[in-house]
Amino acid sequence: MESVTCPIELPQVVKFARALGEADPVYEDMDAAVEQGFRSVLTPPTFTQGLPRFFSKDVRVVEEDQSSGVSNRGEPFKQIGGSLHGEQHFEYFVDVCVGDVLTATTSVRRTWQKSGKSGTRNFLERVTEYHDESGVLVVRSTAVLVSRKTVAISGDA
Amino acid sequence: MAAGTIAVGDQRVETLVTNLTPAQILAFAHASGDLDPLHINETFATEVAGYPTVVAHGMFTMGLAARILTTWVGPGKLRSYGSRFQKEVLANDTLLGTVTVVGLRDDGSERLADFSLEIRNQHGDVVLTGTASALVS
Repeated sequence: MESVTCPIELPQVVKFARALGEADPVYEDMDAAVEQGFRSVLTPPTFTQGLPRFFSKDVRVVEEDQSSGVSNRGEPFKQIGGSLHGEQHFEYFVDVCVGDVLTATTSVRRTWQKSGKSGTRNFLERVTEYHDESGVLVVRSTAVLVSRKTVAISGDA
Repeated sequence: MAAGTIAVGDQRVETLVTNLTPAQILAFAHASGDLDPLHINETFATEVAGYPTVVAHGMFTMGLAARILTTWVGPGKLRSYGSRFQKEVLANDTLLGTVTVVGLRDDGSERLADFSLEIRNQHGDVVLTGTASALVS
């Protein structure tokens, strides 16, 4: 289990909202957000998913080996060519706003395998809970990751 | 939003993106911190991973789809939002999203609407299916 401290900062929220083409000013303008009843600039619904990547000490450097197709961004399946995002679920309890400092705690809930014609794929369900500075759970984010390449059933990957 | 203005069966259909560009995917990669070469490196995506071009993040499609919900019920109203990524979204794709109200219920003091989502590409293939619930009163 890894815990990462994630300060919610305006430039990052604005960049994220604009990358998604968000036009609502609550995602970048303090006055607009306050006018709509938020305590500060609001984050878009999917904002928290990638947040620990920015603040984790483990994944700051991108390493990739193009000949093998391996990238450390594909954790936790890097040994077999990285992972695909199969499912993503959010449960929202409290709005996440600029100025919040969240603690993201990630754990693996379960792993399993599915066999098909081309081999076996590994699945991993990872849960990240975001708590605010008072310890209140604000968002729970659950991801299902799938190994990018199939592996031989006899393989050790 | 007043509960009276939303009913089971109500539907919104919107174009999420037209001819998605590699630059849009790159911008999302930097904004989300997911710099996997599958998304940002054409050589890697084609020659190593075997795709026709760079692949968009599932979270990009999910983020675009969320806009249909938030423009409908208002920002900060979602209580849950989930997606299953059914098929890769590639650069140059055009995505059409359909969101349908499938239920209305009370959860404690809150009035919630349940939604289903379906995103298709320009070939009619489903790339994302999802569900959401949102406060509507």
